[in-house]
Amino acid sequence: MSKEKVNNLSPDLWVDKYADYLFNFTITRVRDVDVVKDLIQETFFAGLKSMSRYEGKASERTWLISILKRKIVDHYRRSNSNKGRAEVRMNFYSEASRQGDWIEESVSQTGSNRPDAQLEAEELGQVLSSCIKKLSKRHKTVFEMKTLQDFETDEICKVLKINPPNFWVILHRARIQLRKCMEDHGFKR
Amino acid sequence: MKINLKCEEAKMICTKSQYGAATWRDKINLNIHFVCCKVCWRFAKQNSKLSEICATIKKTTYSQSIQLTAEDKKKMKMNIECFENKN
Repeated sequence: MSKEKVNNLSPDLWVDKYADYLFNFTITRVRDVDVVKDLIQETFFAGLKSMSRYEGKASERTWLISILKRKIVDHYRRSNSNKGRAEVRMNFYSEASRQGDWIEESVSQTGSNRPDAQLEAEELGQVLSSCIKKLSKRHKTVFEMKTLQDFETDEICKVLKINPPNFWVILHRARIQLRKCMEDHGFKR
Repeated sequence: MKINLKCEEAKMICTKSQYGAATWRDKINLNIHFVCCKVCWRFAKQNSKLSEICATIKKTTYSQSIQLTAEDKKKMKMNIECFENKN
């Protein structure tokens, strides 16, 4: 029985078939190419180790992705291991409040009307990137995870072992610092 | 329902609403606050501009499309083979 299950997987083809997909999946979440390579390699190893437990319910790719997701979370957990330990869960932001994000709506429409808008946006982007680098490690991690890598708040709180109100305060302070930094660079919007 | 927001609270709601995490109540309170507080109103505008710039950063990193090289893949394959042989 277990032999048949193993036959459904073909580890020899994993690299050819899925490496690029896994890479693209990871690079948007972890922005360090070397780390990404390691994570993918670890995923393949973990896959080989637990091949006997593959039930064939999901496709090979989905199965690998689910392993990879755990590896990514582990990565963030590791890089944050000696930080605050308090884990108080308080969920007072209801799901219903996620509707009608007026800011997101306006974001997607920017930059297409004016020819110089693209250039300006790039320039602003560069300045912001340099400002993000100047943030303290904790602020930077929280800001990047939430804003650039689209992690859910719950996930970030769990990984970084902070509670949601604390998370929002950190994020808020990070944004305030970024705003200040942008202003110092002469962007009075 | 609390009507009078302090500026600090108002700014916090601004940030939350950037991520779709503000309740409609918060948003109404915020808009009431904007009527009488131009400082926060300006802050909100700048804050949403910040989100816009973040979105462009995100887009450019996506479009840069860093790829695995053939060499990386070869290495991974070899590692997998070694791993299989060991077990």
